[in-house]
Amino acid sequence: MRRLYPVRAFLALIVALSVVVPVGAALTGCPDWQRPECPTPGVYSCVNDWPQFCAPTKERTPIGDEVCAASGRVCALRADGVAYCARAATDGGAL
Amino acid sequence: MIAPARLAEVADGLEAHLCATFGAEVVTKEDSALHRTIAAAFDAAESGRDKAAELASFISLDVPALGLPTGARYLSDYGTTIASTVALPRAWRAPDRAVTRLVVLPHEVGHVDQHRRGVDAGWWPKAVSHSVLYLCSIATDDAAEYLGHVEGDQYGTSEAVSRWLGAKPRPTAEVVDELRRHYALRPAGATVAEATLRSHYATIDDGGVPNVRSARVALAWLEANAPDLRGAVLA
Repeated sequence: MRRLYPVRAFLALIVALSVVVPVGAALTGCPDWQRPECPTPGVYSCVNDWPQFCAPTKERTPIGDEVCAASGRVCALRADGVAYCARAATDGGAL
Repeated sequence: MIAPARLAEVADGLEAHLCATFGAEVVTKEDSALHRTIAAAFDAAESGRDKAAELASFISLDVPALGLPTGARYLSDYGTTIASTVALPRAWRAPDRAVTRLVVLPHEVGHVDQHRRGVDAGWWPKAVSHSVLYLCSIATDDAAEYLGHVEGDQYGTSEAVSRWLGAKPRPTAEVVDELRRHYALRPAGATVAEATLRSHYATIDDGGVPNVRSARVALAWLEANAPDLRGAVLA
């Protein structure tokens, strides 16, 4: 009987870990959305032709899911600070 | 005035194009065992609240309403996307509800695109990252910001399609309030949703399309295949 004890304990540990760990992760482990840090919440910016917003958690949050160029536009800051996809400047030609 | 049959024809064509482009499937909600189960869960939650309210009334405690739809309303009034499947109420297949499909389909298929692309969520696999962050949005600010981001993008898509069909701008505050009520959205998520909508509205006001793939694909298809609908449906 004494020989069985470590085996039973080991099996109990395996069962406990296989149940407790996933349940614990499910109950407590909401993932973090990985984004670059930013210094000032509430401020917009353009990064690589893509509107961004500094979120309350001080993480730089993309707006939209593709660059402005995908629809023939260019990221710009409006006078009130809002980043958006603006008309691309047209080439006026040369004299 | 666009005939309902024409609107239904365009909605069917748009649906087929969006499904082919984004790998989405559209099913009828009332026929789905999963959605019937969810509807039953909403009814059970409301019934549980009623029982709690009855007990609480003995000590003069007011138990607030849950703000959830009834099971019947969940099935008949809401489009819902889970993973790559968009479930729409059967009634929306009628020609007189084709406009609803025109506006809702690009929004919901955009969620399919978000699910399929996934998001960087640390050690969580990309296959489930969108869904897990979405479900966690009531628990953490980080996940609430994710919900504000993805819903802001898709409400921006709905706004772009509605305006193309001739609708007047919908106030961003009204949209954010709806998100707060329907998703129990935390303040951090509401801030991100509002900022996202302001950006998309600025793009639309400037004559552009939000930088959201589902919006770009839907509007390009409508421009090419249904120019007769532009500004002539919701005006």
